Amino acid sequence: MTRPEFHRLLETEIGLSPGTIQGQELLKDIPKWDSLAVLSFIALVDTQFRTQVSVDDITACKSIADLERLLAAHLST
Amino acid sequence: MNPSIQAIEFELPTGVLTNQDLAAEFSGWTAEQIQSKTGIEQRRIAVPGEMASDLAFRAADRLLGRGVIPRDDVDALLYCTQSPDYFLPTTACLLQDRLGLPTTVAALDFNLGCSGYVYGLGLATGLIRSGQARNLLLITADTYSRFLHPADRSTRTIFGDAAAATLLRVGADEDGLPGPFVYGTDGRGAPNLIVPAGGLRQPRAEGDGMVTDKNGNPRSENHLFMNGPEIFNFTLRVVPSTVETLLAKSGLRLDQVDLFVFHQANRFMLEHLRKRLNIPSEKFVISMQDCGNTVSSSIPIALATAARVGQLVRGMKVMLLGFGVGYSWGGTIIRWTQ
Repeated sequence: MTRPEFHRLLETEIGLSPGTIQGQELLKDIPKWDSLAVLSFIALVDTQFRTQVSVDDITACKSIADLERLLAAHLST
Repeated sequence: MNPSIQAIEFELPTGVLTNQDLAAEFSGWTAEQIQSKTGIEQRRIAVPGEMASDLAFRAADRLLGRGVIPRDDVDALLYCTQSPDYFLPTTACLLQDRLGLPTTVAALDFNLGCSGYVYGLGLATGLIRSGQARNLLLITADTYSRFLHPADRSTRTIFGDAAAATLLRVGADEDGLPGPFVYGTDGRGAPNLIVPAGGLRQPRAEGDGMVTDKNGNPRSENHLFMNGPEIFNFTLRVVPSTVETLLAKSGLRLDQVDLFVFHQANRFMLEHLRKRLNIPSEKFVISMQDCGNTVSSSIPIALATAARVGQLVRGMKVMLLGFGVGYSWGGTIIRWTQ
């Protein structure tokens, strides 16, 4: 999966307009990035990659780039 | 001797907490958003002085009042609750007296939450198949609302109070059902769904102040703490594999199961599991909109409701799966004979 594809899927999961996420954003600046978005991210990872990411690792993320690093094994450059 | 479910009755308390009530209390969430994310429109809440055992009594009393069997024929009572009347004596003993059951009945409490109904069916099956019981009442009941902090919207949107009474009797079918049973336990998950204080390990804390932990979660030692994302990860780890194990042990394919009734945790989680498991929506019961997550009563309530609306009919093979607090999980397959 490419990074732009991941951005579009994440937008869909948490209810953002396409193009809202470009890759440089801090999570605190993303509208709707809240506890429900964390659940949506977990669901996305499970659906797309059949794996789970630890909640501590997700909580430690401060940016979209941090989320991408969690999924580095599954994202192409 | 094979047990079969003869009757289910459930009881909801009269108090009601709607999404509108919650939206008025908590800014930033609308009633529609709460419904959309949880699948819940209202939760039923015990009124002051109303115990889980009161709900249990009313459900069981109504079931016995239907005259399926005389009260004197009940020879075992299993009571699943995490909201007992007292540390001791056993609440099942109090229910034996209130229900007018004979003093020859075997009665016990067992402390499980979301997995409790499946474990109860397992215990009941063992007692009946071994000849220790013939007419068994399995009652589940909880008032989790009493454990929730008023300021914790994550738990107050989810949990509702309820009780359900199930009568199991020696049945005529010899098809090996209920069963097989698959159980699981992982105590590492204990901190993720817990009421820390008020038991013997940790006395009740002074005051009900809430603090925010390092992950931004509101915490109060005297109240239920639920780490939703951790619990979601847990369900993704155990539910698909438990379904696979159940199917393998029973020799069934997924499409040979007529209906799936999982613990009614919240709609978001259930819908994800349904898609993950490729279960058609018409075979997957989601039925918590009027009562919320009722812990160990969620499966029997969903069964009774599905039967009432014709989604569950006689002869169907039904997979039941309970999972949650503990962590504890269990699954089995039943045949609906009503």
